[in-house]
Amino acid sequence: MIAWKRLRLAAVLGLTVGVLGGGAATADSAYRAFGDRGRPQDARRTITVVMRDNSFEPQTIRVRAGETVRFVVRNEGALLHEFNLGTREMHRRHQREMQTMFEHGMMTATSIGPVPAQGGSHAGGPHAGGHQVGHGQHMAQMHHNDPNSLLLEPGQSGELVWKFTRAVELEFACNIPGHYESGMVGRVAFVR
Amino acid sequence: MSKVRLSRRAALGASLAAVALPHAPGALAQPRIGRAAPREFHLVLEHATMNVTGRPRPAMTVNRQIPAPVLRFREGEEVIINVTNRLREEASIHWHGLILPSGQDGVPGISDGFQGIAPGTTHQYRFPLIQSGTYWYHSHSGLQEQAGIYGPLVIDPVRPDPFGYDRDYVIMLSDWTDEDPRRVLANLKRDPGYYNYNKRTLASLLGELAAAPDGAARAAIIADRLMWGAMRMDPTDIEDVSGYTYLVNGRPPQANFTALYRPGETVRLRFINASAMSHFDVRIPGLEMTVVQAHGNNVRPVTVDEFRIATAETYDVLVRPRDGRQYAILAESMGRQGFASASLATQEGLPMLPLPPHRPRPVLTMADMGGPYGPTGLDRGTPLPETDRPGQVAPPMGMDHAGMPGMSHGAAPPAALGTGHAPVAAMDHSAMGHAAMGHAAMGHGTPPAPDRAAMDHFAMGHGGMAARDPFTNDTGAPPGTRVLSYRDLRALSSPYPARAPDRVIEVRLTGNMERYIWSINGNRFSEAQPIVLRYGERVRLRLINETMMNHPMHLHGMWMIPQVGNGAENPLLHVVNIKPGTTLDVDVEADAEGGWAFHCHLLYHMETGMMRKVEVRRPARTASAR
Amino acid sequence: MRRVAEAAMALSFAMVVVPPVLAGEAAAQQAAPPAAAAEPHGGPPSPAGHELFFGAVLVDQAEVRSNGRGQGIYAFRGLGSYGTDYDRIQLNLRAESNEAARSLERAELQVLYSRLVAYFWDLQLGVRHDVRIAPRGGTPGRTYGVVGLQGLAPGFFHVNLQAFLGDRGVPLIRAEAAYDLLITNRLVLQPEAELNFAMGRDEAALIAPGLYRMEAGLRLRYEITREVAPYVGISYERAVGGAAGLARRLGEKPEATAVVAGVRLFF
Repeated sequence: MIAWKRLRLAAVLGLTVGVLGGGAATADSAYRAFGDRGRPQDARRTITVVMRDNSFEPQTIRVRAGETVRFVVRNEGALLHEFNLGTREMHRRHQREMQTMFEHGMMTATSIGPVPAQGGSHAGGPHAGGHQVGHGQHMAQMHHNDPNSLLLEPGQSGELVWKFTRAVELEFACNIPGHYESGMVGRVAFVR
Repeated sequence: MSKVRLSRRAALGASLAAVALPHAPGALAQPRIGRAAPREFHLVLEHATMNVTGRPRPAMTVNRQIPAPVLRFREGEEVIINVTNRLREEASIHWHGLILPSGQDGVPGISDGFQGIAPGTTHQYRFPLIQSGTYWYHSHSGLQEQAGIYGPLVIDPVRPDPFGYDRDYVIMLSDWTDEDPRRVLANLKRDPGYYNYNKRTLASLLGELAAAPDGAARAAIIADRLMWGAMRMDPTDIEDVSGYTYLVNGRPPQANFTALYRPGETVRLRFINASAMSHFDVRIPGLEMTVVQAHGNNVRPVTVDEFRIATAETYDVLVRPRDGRQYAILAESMGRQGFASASLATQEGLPMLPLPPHRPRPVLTMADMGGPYGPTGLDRGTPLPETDRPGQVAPPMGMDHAGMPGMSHGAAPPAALGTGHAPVAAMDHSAMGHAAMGHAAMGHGTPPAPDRAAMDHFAMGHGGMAARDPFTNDTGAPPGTRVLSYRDLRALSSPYPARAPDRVIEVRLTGNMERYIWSINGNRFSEAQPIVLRYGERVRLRLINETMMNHPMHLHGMWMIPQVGNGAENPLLHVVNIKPGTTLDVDVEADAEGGWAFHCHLLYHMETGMMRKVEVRRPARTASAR
Repeated sequence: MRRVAEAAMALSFAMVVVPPVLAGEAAAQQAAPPAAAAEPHGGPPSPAGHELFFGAVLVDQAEVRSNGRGQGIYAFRGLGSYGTDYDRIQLNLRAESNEAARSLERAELQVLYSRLVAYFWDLQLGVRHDVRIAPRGGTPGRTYGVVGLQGLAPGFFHVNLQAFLGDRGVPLIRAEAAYDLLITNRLVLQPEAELNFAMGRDEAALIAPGLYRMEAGLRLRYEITREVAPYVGISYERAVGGAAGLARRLGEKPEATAVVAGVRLFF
């Protein structure tokens, strides 16, 4: 069961958000402006982040420019959540993409990937009809690997190693529709 | 992990220590087996002298402060609150919005077995907290609330709220008058226009005529004046009382209460309108606000630029200032008499930002003149039949405007009068819910049958006039501004499944604007029968505002579920504002036995009669089984 | 992390301890001594449950009238009322001084029970007494029963209609109307008029059948507050028809126009 979930997660993580919208190619590499995937052996510090419905704990993360940090992220909520490092503008773009993915049934409030409409409490509704599932599968075949984000289903944990190269105004956020607005966004504070 | 956890929890804990006056020794003296001992709090009501405007004036305080201290409770705990009355008159404290046993609700003469707190005595309240969110507490005796007996009440949830924030602030709005509140009431009684210095005058007429583009417009202006005169109503009667200084957490604008933030943080602002007589239009120029709670209950986050907060309502919003700027939190009174103002800033002690000019003062139109509809023969919920007392219901206006140009029955009001109606049915559907939702995939939950009735009811109108939309708040904001309406509120979870009501009870909001009499179904509280509900039934209160003023109606002890068209997601509110000339259906699940107050939360409206006792009675059989 | 926590803590202090405006006391934490918990006592019923009593005094005219010659005349017209929304006691008083004697020329007192019968209208019942001032001069004392209707007519006209039945058996009717024309919200022009009719003759009281006396006034007041409003204006009064002759016989002019100055009081 868990293995299957992992598999599906991997599939969706590998989903090309970018192909959904024309501007997304820039979004993909935009993280290079402040960092990149880190090497696990460089990580001196582990920061645990708990995701709930719909908040992060902690709400502020302090890092140094040049530091590599291992993030252990746990979704303790009942909804699907994302941990995504980016600038406000990147998040904004990403939210639009997520919105589209939701509308196409590629994810539901609680899980990744096309799932029958009667899922979670928030998942029901006229938009999650059958024909969209097929549409979603088509989308899911697209491929990509976002090193700056983790998408976790309820109860799942994940790890992300990140090297912060430059101090810029950064946020970690969940871009699932409605969650960012609910304050599911934290501040990355660069300390000297 | 646990260290990280600390940051927010510890903050909450510290707040508790700071404000809640827990009385540990007393509480520990009698530990209860299997449960944590209830925490104990002490409140002392006293006369004091306040200086808000530069003149020391008599006031009433709780623990020698205005507003009263923040009571910070935890969901699931039981609390004991000892209220000592050192006033020279009987007093009471009511816990606004809390779901608790009737006997603890604190309304003298209405709450079961509660007759107020006599001078010099202490009354002990004790109740469990079965909810979380932002609420408040205030006196329910006479006009003490206006004199200063009000304070915030915050209940932290057992499970974290479904939204995140770095810090939170109470923003308690209130209206302070240098006058003795009894004097204010006496003034209103002898001249309901006593405080209105914005009446239409000859000077304003000449100004309007001069500004009118053509003869037809001028004729319409004259006709409008004549019509209002014929009706003997005042279109400028927006707020009954003036001379107020509007406060944020007890501070006038110049004192500039400051909520601190660091750039990039999310700040939760807990707005509480603790004013006696004022609605506020709230905005923070330069920031959008995401409403996450309404009246203490979680709602689907909705991002707005402005919201109107009726008297006694609470809204929790998240804001996220990213730069280090100073922002002004502005709450402009609906009648444009002043601002309550505070700052969001990165440091304390900054001078306030200059206040913007006032928005145009609203003027009532014929659309606000919905009534009088008169009784429609529906259930009143009273044990005996009820008839309107003389003088409490405005005479029919049909005769008056029959002779007016363009005003005949069956026709929409002339456009020249500026009522500007779109056909209501069309308006309702387009405005319904889709905007500002962001949850496209989550479905809109087509409202089930019960909602249709409500929609039909206000779409139908009366006497051929298009009825006014009961939800839209015209704050005078520039076009494109997102202004919150009840329609935008969708409960995140509701303990009550959507179901059809067992019966409809007609609640007409009536009154005499000329004598300052306010009443429900043509009867003042002093002469009215209680509304009796059967335990377990769901009733639909059809609130019909026949007057020309807003009435924020507050029901104690049970949630009100306005039928805003969101089906099972209709919000749960403790106050529902009924705009002039509108009708709104509000469902109530009668799940709390005992006596409860139901009233207009405009203090002087309540005091002069717009109040009822609601009695929830268990049918005899069930009662004995219990 | 800990520093963050501490900072948050400090800020949260700032946030919740809402400083009182109260002078002096820093008081939030003043827990009261734990007093014995009192059980609900049998006090008076709910304060909102009883009828509220209110009173008001309106001195509509307190003025000096001058026609440019001789002494001015002092005139007073006012009312006071007290009671509930529905039931009130109202006193109406009007008086005028005598030009020469500087004593009262005319005085009339009404004591009325007033009942709200419709949205804009009170029905009033009571007595009116006209005071005899000088033993020889002036009009004699009279007492009447009063039935009246007082209220607001369409167009915002303050109207008072009264019917009197006197001890001499002469029925009288008085119709008064006034209008507040708001030039600005404080500057108010008030035209008012009063017509008196009689169904019979009472010569000593200068009453003749038909319209026997009319008064009119135009006063411009400035409401410094609602309570105090000084004014200037003109007043006109005239004995009409047979009553004019009666007045002449007493050596009075049947017609008088005067410039007035006074103050309107409303408490």
